[in-house]
Amino acid sequence: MAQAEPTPGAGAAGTIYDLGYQGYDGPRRGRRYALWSLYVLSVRNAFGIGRGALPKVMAFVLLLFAHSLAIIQLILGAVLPVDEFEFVSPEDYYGLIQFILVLFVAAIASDIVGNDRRTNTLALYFSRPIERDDYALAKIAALCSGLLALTVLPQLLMFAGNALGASDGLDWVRDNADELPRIIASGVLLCLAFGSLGVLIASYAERRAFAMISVIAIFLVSFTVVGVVVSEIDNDQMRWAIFLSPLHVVDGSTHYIFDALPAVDELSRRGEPADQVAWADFPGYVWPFALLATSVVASALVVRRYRGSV
Amino acid sequence: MVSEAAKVEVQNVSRWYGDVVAVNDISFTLEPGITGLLGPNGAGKSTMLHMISGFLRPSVGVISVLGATSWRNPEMFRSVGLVPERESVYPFLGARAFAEASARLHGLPDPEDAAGRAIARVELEDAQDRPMGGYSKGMRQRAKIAAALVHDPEVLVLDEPFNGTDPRQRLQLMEMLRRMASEGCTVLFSSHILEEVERLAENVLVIVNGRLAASGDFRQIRRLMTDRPHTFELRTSDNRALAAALVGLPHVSAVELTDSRLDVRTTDFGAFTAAIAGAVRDSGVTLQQLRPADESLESVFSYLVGS
Amino acid sequence: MTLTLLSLTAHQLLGRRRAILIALLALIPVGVALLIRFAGDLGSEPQYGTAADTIGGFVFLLLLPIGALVFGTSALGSEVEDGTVVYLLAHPIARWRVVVVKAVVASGATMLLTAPASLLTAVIILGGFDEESLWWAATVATLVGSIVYSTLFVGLSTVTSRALIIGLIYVFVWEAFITNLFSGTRWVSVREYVEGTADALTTAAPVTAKLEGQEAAIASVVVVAASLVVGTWFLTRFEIGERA
Repeated sequence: MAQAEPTPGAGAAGTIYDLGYQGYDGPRRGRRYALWSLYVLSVRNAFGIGRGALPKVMAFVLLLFAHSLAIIQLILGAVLPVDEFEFVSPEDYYGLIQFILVLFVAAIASDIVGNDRRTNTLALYFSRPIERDDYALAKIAALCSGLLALTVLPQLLMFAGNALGASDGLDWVRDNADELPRIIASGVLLCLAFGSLGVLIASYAERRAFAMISVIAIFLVSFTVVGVVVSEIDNDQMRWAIFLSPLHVVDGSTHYIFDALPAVDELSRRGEPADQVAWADFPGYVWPFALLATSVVASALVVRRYRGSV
Repeated sequence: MVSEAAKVEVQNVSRWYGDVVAVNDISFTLEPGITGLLGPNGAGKSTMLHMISGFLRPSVGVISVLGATSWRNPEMFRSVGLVPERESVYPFLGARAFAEASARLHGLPDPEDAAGRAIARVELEDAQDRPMGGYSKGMRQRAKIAAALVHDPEVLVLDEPFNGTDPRQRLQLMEMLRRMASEGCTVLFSSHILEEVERLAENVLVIVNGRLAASGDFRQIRRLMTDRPHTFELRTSDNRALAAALVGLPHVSAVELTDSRLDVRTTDFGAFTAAIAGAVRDSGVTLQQLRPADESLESVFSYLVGS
Repeated sequence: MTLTLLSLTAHQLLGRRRAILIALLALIPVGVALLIRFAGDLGSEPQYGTAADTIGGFVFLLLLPIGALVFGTSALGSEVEDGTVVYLLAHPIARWRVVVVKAVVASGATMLLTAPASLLTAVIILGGFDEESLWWAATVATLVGSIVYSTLFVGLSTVTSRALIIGLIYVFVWEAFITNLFSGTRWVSVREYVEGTADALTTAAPVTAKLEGQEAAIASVVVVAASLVVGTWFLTRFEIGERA
């Protein structure tokens, strides 16, 4: 270390000057805090916070439409003299706004995953205390949390509004108290499945546009194909096709959790998605379990995806 | 009054994005010959070039190219060529096909011939039929230039044309631009590298922080740049003694003593470096460190805008 | 000049993965139709309901808007994004010509990949060219929809760099969600034009629409013309990469 003092001016070809930079010796918050920061950043991005005007407007529009049915229900409930008026029931809610949910998943998943890839910040993240698995899970968690605002939130809003609108609010809450855990369970399952599937699809797409279209195509195409095929082909094997459509499975799970799987008749096959799910005639607990399994498998695949070269 | 020969005329032009001013009240005229637009990154060079070629609307001010406003005037491109900075090209075309497509879009009578000549000018014959997706940066640059001069433009605008080119290609491109200029073409190119501009441009515009910092003959400006005050930082065994000696030198305009350092300001770079050794010896102190404080290009530029 | 423009655009649109994606998507309704034909209970009579559901649910609702979105927003949009549009615009070409050519190519690409899907789906499910001309109605409606949607999205892509997401919101929130709830908005929903056209051209009962054939035709022409005008207006004022 201690070498002879360089003689000034005597052929010192190169010197590194002390510009006053210092190392950091203070406390470090560590990996968990970094992970939390990434999660918070991604959730903020999902709603356009800290971004330009358009992402904000877009998130607001989708949020608004996701809440529109709850709002209509509340307004009608308040205006109409009928007690216990029901414009939309909680078990049907997600089915009615499913296009909006899919659009949200497509837009946000392609954004929070694709941006890091497009701007080459992914390599920067991985050279920090954040590990690859952390990154993948933080992104999934962020999308899932964002989705909660479009699913559980309007449901809770509707629940609160219905309670306030009832002639005896407390009575109403007491009678319907079992709805609360149902709302939360069904919503959380949906968010987990959609969030992990969305990130999975987006993480494989090179370009943002491609990611967006792929998410939409996969969710809606499977939904449409399964719907048409089940209603047009009277064949026992077709029962299994239902599992190919995440939107059908969500319908099944939600209806099972609300104990509202429709009764089966000969027209069920050609009916609403919930009827088709009922027609498939699997034990009801299969649906939430299938959603959970989907989430686990999709998350594992995302983790695997980021362990490879990205 | 603008002279007859002016091909490009920029009058009190400013451009801002929201509350960021990119170009601030710039005026100049261009005549046939090569002009270099010099400035550090983010100085507003690209903004200026985009406004001249009609791809940005000046927030205020007027730009006319060959006598007509450039904004919303695609007809201008009959005699204007533009080489944009972005590197992307149609990956599926070869340079030859690219130049030919450009010739066809210009409606030239013999597009094959025009494309052939343009490719020959940039010496890209060897690779002319390979898809550009596989080109190196320098080859893409040359393909872009070929496409821009396929119609023998009177005015040629190039945004950072030497990015990614190797030294030999750079010389070759410079030679080509010189030849075009000698044939009466008005060439305007941007660069953030002093040496490029020095070697190619007879006329120079220096842009710093969106303002025109200097313009005119390059050698003149270069001299102004070197003759500015320089600051040196010294560490010695006895700063105060050396400071006393230095103050006596004619070209030293200020000395400042800080805790461990001696800052000296001089008006003549050359004379000071010649005199410092003698001054140190005569005052009997030991010089431990001597270094110029501000030698980056940016500091030269900021000197020019007086900040 | 126009030919060069056409071939450049066609090359960009069809020489890439996006064309494959849409082609795969277009194969799905045909595959479903085959499945229904060979595994389903179609019987000997043409099942107009089944055909209308499959084409309406798949082609009109998904394939057509997604195909037009992909081609329409990338015909000009991807060139703007990667900067190659400058090479095009640095030529003495009237901007309306650029917009029209881009719209023509985008429409053509959408037609090429969606119209056969409609035709094949109809023919397979109905067991041939049916007497109620459903096959004809579905094909023509898909062609009309290709033009209207694609031109609309080309126009939109001159206005904003986020044309894709805005187009998606239009198709899947406005057309699929709002227009379903409030039929008063049928005039501003291209899907209703498509269904109106189809309804006017077939006598098959299961095909219904909120708009008359003439209304749909007029609305289609208006939307196409407006998109071209708007597209030209914005492209003449095109500015390179605004800095944030």
